Amino acid sequence: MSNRPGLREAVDGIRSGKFSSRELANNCLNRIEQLKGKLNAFAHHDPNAVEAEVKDGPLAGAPYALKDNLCREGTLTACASKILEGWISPYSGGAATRLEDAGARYLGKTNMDEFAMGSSSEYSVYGPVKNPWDTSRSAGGSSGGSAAAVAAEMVPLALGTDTGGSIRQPAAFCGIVGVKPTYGRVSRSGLVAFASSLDQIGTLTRDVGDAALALESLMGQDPLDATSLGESVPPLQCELERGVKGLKFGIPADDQWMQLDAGPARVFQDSVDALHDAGAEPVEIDLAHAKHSVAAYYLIATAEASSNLARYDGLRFGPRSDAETLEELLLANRSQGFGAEVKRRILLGTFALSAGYVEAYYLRAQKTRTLIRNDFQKAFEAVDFMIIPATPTPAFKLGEKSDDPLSMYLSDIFTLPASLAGLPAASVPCGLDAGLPLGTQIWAKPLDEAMLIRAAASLEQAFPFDEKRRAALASLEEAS
Amino acid sequence: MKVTDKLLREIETLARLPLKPGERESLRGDLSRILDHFESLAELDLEGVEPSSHATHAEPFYRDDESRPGIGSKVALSGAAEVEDGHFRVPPIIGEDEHV
Repeated sequence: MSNRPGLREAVDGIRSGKFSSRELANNCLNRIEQLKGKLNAFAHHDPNAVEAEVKDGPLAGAPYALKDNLCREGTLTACASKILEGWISPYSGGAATRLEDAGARYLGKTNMDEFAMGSSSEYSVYGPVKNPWDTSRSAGGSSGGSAAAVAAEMVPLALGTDTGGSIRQPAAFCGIVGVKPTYGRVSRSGLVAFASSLDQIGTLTRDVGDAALALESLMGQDPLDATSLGESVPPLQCELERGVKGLKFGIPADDQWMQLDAGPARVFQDSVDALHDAGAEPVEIDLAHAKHSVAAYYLIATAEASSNLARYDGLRFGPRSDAETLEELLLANRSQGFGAEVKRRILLGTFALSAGYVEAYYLRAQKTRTLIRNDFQKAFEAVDFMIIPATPTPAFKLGEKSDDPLSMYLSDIFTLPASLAGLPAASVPCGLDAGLPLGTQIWAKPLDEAMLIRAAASLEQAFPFDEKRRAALASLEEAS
Repeated sequence: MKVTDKLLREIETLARLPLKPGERESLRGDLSRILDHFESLAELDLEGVEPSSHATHAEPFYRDDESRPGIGSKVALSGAAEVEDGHFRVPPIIGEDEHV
């Protein structure tokens, strides 16, 4: 076995006594330390994590990491923000509780864009995350730390959160598998809210089988989240070998919306061909309103954020500025505590909800969201799942988009439609462009994570990626 | 849409988020460019379309309205910078000259 196993290999190894859960946790912590300077993937980790011996449950003591916006009792949860510096979660969220009830061992929290607002993991109080394939490039965002940590084998499983693509895009940039289940499948209890109608927790793993194993434990209803779904959670690992023979899959018909450079266009066509070769039939689908996703998403998400982030007043959480009056304290804390992108989004959302503009902006965005949902409902009458590139380009350079917010927002175009419709979606690595990984995204019907995993596993079989990722890691380790 | 200095200051007041002097000019430009792009929604015929405030795929789920153990005030207060006698301590809300 490798001394840095994936999730299923870790569970099997612990159960068969090849290695103990503590040994494995120790290896992971050493790896986190070793790569800290190179990748900056972790915000903080827990050196005491190796103390207890854990080996029961479906996850049998396998180590995992949380994104820095997910609460676990007694751990720092700062959302990569100065305004929550030093804040310790007073309780554990549903996601951490479920994984640990299943036997997973917590190792630490991963770096991210502040309050999950960003697509590059550069807007962070901890500094930018770097991509293990090329450290001059972004690991994607906002779950960039989780993606880099899994890709660089610091940990076999990391949770991320996906509001508009924040699991799928970093997974694609780092050459791993990212899954965002249906909105409501995973409890949002203990997830620090950004945009409540869109936020969803999901997994980052090296392969689809590891995602299936983790999701079986992670998904399910939670009395502490009224939007969590009661529908029974389907078994997922049995979908891995089923194949896609006889299924129909949608591909977007709109060339104007799907403008791609030659490299990403080739990788996407390879994905279409691979599924076709595996016996599935491609069907062109018209998602007429998907091109409006960026506008609709950024109005809705920022409006919700402007409301959710009103709670950061310096009274109940985080450090406090010097001030004579309550009003001064509130203003000083917010002005000094939030970073540039968070301010931009709070102000944009406040504008979209303000008297005189709410109908032309927020309400129009909500109606556009209805049209996008209707497009999907119609599309899924004709197909079993859909595929689309995860990103228009491979990982961009650090600094390339951080001063141009609109360009950063536009790069999310392929992940946003599924977010607005609350669909389950995944990104699977399917090829390289100039030596950098590209992901193909799968969208399934609401609640049909079984089909999502089945299609993702088929794509993965056509494009084995482990060797490519390990070659990139070897270069990373050699670099001084 | 051009975001004027006056409009930006009004939004800052509504958001309780005063910008620092160096931030205002670049943010005004950003917001103007972003809102220009969002004008594309004006092309759509939205007559009679219901707005979606969520994307849930099931009825909302309610638990029984029964009391259950909470985290307790000591833990709830543990993240605050200033606490006194089991309460959050805050600076004066009303100035002395405003007492009635």
